[in-house]
Amino acid sequence: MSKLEICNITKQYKKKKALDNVSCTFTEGINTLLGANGAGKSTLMSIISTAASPTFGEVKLDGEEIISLGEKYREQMAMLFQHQPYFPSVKVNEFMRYNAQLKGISSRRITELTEKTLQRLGVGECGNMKMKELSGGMRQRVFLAQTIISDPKIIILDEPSAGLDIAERTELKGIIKELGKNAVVIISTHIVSDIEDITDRLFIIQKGKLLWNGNAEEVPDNDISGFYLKMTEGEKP
Amino acid sequence: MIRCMLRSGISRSLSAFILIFMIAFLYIYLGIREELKFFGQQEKYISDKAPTGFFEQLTADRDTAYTDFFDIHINHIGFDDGGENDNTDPDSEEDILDMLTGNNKHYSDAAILWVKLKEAEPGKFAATMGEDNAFMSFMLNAYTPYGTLSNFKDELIAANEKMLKRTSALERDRIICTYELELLKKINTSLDAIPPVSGAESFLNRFNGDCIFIFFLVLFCCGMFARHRRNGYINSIKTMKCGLKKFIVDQVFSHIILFTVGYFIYALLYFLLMLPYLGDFSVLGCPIQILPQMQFSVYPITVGEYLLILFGIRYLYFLAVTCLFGFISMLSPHDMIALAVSGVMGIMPLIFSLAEVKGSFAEAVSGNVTSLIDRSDIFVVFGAAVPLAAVMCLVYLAAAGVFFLLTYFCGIMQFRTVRGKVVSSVA
Repeated sequence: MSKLEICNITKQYKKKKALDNVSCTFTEGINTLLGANGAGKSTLMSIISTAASPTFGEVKLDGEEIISLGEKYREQMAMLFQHQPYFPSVKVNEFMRYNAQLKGISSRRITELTEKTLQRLGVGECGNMKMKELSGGMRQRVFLAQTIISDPKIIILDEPSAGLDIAERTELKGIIKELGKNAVVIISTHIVSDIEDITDRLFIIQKGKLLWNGNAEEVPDNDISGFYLKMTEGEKP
Repeated sequence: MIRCMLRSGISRSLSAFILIFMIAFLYIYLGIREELKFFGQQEKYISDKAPTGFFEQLTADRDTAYTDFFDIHINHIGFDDGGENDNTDPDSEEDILDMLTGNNKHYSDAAILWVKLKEAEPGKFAATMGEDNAFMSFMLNAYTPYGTLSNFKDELIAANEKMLKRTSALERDRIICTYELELLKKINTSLDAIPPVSGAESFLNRFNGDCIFIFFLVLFCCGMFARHRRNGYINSIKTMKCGLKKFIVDQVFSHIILFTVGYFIYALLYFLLMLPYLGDFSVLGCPIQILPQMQFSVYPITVGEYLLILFGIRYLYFLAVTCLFGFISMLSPHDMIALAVSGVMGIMPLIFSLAEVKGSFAEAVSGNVTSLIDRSDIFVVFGAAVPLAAVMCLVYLAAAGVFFLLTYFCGIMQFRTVRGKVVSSVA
């Protein structure tokens, strides 16, 4: 079972401390980072995904520092950005192929994996459509497809439901729950309904500090919203 | 991953190549069509003797090699002036040379030049270049297209006719003048009407064509990295297995491969344009001495080898330009900025070539250097071309840096990425 340890991570920008001595552990299942905008969720995720580097502290995968692991870590990890980059005029299949090659998947397997992953996420018939022709929900599923195409052990999803309607969010919730069975899934969100019923561990962040982390069962009455509001108002359970 | 990048780059490079080459093709074709007719006239100067035979003789017996290989041969009508100081055998070339150039100060420099050119052989020419720098400089200035044979011919005719009209002219001088006037009639100056294929003016024509090819590189390279930055891909690539470093290396390599293919096609089409005027493919095996500006060259290389060297040097130059435009693309937050900056850089050689016909610096760079290239061996060719390419690259880098800084600080071109605004609502 993989374990991702965050050890005293601090991220200091010129005028602002985005993360302040954050330490926690992510394990297999759905790990939710909950916090307001600007709390530091995306910064933490960028550091975990190696898109950014911390000012202090380190991230370890099963005891080994991820910077020293380098390519081996990135091979097992995949990230879905809040604003996932894509080339609008490129077709879905080409987009999947391009990203798959960047992830190091061999050419022989790409076609088969692309079809399989798109089918799994319910967008199998969109292969020949251009990315700009897709609806928000379909595009998000394609993004998710390119994220999981390499079967990563660590999946980082930054605000995956942003811009989606209620039906699409519900569907996405189901997909994410499935992913959590075999991987360490780290989701960031500020919308509680996106993660209630599926989250295994909860991490509450405010102003760069980790206020609370623990199993979802420990939340009183399973009321994550109320619990979050209490935590952010300074009251502890 | 290089194959993936090649695949994604092919459509862009193809459309850029077709667009730019259509423009360049018209320009090159119209530009060289007339000058290449020149070669047709040169055919009569070449004998049936095989080039390999010519090369073998060249080092062993230059006189015979040239006599046998080239049909055109000015036969000297020797004469003995009969003067009391004449101790030489009649009809000796040393005699004629001495009489025409030695102590006779009535003749202009042009007359002396003509005689020396007429009498020059590869070995003598090379020796002259080494020993007489003033003469070499004068010859290089005079024998480039900036000075035409017609002008010198007219000057020589005028000088000789003026001498003949003098009542005080010596009999010996009259004989020499008459002899020279007869020789001058045989000089074919119709070649002056057509710019030569080698030399400063030809360099200009080809250089302008190459300048247009640079715009292919501008279109092709502007999106090398800037496109990914604009779409926010750089951060995403950092998180993927390949990583940013490998991505950069593979992207540069794939562009170099596509550029090489594009340049090869360009060079091939360029050569095929020239071929009808050269005759057929067999001309590639002929010695470079068949080229008018190379006839004094002492080095045994063929026309094919000569073209290979020229295209090779140009390839290195364009390779440097590709890397420079890639560097600009790397710095640019948007591919339109990279296009603008690279486009300005691409125009610079055109401005240079337009300005180069004026001013001594221009002549020194284009005229003398290219003339040096025309007359020298492979090592000198590289020795002259490499510093020039290096200088141009440094100029490019400096200008690109200035322009980019101006753009950056003025904030004239600010583009948002597709990331857009941060969501600000709280649940």
